[in-house]
Amino acid sequence: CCPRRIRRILDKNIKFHRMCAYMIVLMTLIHYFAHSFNVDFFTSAYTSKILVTDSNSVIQRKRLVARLIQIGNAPNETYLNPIRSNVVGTFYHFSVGAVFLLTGGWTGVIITLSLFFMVTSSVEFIRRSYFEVFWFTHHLFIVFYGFLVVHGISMQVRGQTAASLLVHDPKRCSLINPALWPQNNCPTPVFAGSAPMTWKWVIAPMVLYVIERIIRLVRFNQQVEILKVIKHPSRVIEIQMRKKGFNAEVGQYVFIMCPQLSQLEWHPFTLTSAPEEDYCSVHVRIVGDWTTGLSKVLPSWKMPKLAIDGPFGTASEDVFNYPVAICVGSGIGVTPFASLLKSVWYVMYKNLNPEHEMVLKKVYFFWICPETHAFEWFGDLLAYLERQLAEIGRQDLIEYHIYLTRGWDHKQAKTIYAHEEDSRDVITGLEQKTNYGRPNWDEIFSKTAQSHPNTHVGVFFCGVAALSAKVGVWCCTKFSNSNNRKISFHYNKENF
Amino acid sequence: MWANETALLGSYVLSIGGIIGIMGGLLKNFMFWLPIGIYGLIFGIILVILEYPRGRKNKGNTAERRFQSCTATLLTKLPFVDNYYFRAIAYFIVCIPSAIIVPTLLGSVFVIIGSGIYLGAACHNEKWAPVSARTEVRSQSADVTQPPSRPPPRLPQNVNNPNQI
Repeated sequence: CCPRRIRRILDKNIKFHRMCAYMIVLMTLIHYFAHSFNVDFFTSAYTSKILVTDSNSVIQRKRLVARLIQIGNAPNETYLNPIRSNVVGTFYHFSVGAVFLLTGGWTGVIITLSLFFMVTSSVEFIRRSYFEVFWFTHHLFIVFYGFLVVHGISMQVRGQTAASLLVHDPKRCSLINPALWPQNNCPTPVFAGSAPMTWKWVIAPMVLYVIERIIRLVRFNQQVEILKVIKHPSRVIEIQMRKKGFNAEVGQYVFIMCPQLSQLEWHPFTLTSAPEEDYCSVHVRIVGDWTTGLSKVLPSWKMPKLAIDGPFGTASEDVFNYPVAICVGSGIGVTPFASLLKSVWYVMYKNLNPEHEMVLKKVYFFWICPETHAFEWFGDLLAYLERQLAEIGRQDLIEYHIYLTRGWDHKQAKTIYAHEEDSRDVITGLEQKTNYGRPNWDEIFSKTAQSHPNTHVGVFFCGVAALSAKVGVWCCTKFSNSNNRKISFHYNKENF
Repeated sequence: MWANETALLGSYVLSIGGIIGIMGGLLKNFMFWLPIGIYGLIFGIILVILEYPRGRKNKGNTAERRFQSCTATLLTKLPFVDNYYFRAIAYFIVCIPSAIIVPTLLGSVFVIIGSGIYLGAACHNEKWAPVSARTEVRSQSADVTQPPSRPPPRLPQNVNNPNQI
């Protein structure tokens, strides 16, 4: 629906979220330190005394302050200083006490503490190693926004009203002894506070969020039928499911929840099924406690209830819009491309008629992993696709390169050397030989630039951040407009 | 671990609060802020130095902070610092004086929360240990050598494969 540039900006949602968070932290600090001066002005106004050594201007200022804090005590008067002298207790007159007793103060304390917990548990170290700490403290945003909206409700930042400014000029009257104000045409000033404004800014996103949670609740109650559970080698289970009204695009992901395991946890999984299939499947690798629990309850005679929220979009949806696509997956990041490659085969199969040619003409697929352990199912998928494409004579559509980056021992080297002449690779069984070591991106991109001049090439990446940085740099800065070949590489990265 | 993050952020805010306290303390109206501001800044910096090196996780690899090794060696030489009870009580006592003026109040409250989390960690018998060198995760097959710098021997027709380093 939207042009490509806008869609690619939406892919950077997590980055935007972080930028907002940094800005909130910075502004909170500035706001707090500014108000710390403010609060001290309010409280010290009650303890200032005129000393013998004061100069005239200092005496005038102290008299002014003494008068200003009195305004508001008489009936029909409005006050300037939110700390009123008739409040019981000296704690209020101590600036730290005022922080906790003013409405703006204690709501501010609650807001800042929630922000503090959210920020400290969002650092990458805590997210990667202690995810539950991050997840549950991050829900403090509800407290944060709730109290943020009421933070200014007592209207404690006050100033003269516009009407009062017309009759009482502060520039002139502040230099006159307040005791002599009535004679000098300085009527008692009238003060008012400014109304809270924050809710105007946050109401729209808050409503959108509430709608999204309601949708999740509705989806929770929709029935998910588990069709098949397949246990693959290396602790991977494939779950094939069906849900009424569920339609996904290529490479999208869903959140899965199993009430039997945990009422609160929704875990994201990339869909490995193509949209053309009549079921949706995910491949789950058994790594942590939730997935281990899942492997224990599936399969069984009485399948547990599962709930799916989604599908949610990712960068990989746009693959069919480019004439040439380079897909790079590292390790577990290869899963969105399972869906993609299957879908390419289905679309190809349906569009053998040259009138309905796809925009996508060529897919280069790079799979980089330390070893193929845990991804045998993907190797099988590639072998299957290879055969299917050869059957319809389009095996040149997908060109794939597999790189095993972990070293090899001498026994493996012997086996590889002995089977060098075989038509199929000894490790994967595919026609393309497995490469050992890391890809040479320089060569890969320049070769692609030479074979496809004048085209927009989509580069899709799903994997570790270090590799993403490298590929992104090579692709976008070095080759985008090189050699006048008018080839442009568009880099799309999935959140990993 | 989380206590370390909270105490570190708290000590940054305490230092900034100390700077603000000093700047305000130079004004005539807020002279009372000056000594507390200096106190906040000094102890803020000391806490940053103590908290910056991340301790070792009980299992798995620990991601170090950048340049953490400079202060980590200092920490191994100081007594008591690896005991979390000590950290909890010491941080609590240090932050009470700086909580009396508003600029340093924020940092002090954060560090006191960090000390509370440290107390919880100490009750679980956690300690600070320096991060040792990364332990390599070996695959199950025996004697896998390091990834070599040259490609494996290939027959002559495949030797000019440009897709490989």
